[in-house]
Amino acid sequence: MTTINTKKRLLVFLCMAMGFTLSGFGQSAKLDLNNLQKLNDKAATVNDVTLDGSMMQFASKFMNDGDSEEAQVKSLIKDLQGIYIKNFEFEHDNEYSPADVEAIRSQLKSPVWVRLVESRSKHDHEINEIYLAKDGDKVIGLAIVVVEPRELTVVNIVGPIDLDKVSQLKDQIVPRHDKDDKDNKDKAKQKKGQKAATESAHENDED
Amino acid sequence: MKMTKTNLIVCAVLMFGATAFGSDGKNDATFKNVVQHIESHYHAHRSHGFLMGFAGLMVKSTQSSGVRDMKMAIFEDQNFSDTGSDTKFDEVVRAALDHGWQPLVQSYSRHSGEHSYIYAQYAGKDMKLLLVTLESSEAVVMQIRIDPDHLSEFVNDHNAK
Repeated sequence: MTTINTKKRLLVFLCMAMGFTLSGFGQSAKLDLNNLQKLNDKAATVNDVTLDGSMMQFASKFMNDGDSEEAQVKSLIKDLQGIYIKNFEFEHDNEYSPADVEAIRSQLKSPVWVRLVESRSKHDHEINEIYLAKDGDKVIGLAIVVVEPRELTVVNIVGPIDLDKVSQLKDQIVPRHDKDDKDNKDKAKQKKGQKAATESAHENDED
Repeated sequence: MKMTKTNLIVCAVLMFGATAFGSDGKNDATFKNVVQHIESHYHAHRSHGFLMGFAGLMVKSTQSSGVRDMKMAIFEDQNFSDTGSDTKFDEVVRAALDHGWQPLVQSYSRHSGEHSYIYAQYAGKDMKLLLVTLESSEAVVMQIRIDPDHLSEFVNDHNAK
């Protein structure tokens, strides 16, 4: 009897420990943005987007598998658990407190979160930060924090993100610069060729 | 009291009605409340009321594109310039949360006075969307019920063409 009870206790303890670990893991990439709710009344412009996993699946249904770009976007968002965006624009400087931002930053700590990019502009008093949430080698979330005197933006993407796919997609979506460069080079080559041909024709005439 | 055939039919119809329209009526509360608020607070009148009613009826009867139900109220050329002082509008729309709606997009600009809201709700395998926009001279309140699979087929078919 005692052995069974001890086993049961051990099992319950294990389940509880697992539950805590799993729930901790699940929450790790999703930021608690509720503290920003109070800025709704202060801000002149508020943009708030909340797309949970089921909504992402819903949106992905309207993406055409026949279109390579849309198919790639679909494969990117298929495993995402949510996209949360909060953007506030204020009429005057410092209408939100540093504590509001600190409440977000305090969640973006190691070992889960790694800061990928930090850019600070003293001139514009602007700070841009990009964080990745990692589980081993896998990226399980992304956070972007943009802090300006009159604007605050927090983007939180929860779920596995394949950075290779993002990079491929970026190359597909933004090929115009490369194409423009190639076109310009081709044009320059053509002009150069025409100029050389005209010069040689002039030289022949003079001879 | 003896249960006659007529009584039985009336009971059956009432029960069917309560089952079929009960949940919709509850979920339509937000649509009705928002429209009523716009009408009473701004003394605004709906435009193309008959046309919208007819369009809703057509959508309900055809359902060819995956849209099962549609309710729409359009307010055109009205004076909604004083939305800043209308603190209740936000409350009325946000009450949607109590009726099971999930917020997808909420946008507000004090400068232009523009409010935009998109809420969603699952209804079995269907999805219901509630869209509300309020600008300085016009407002649109729309609620649609769609079958995502059917609609995506419809969209893909028309994309292919």
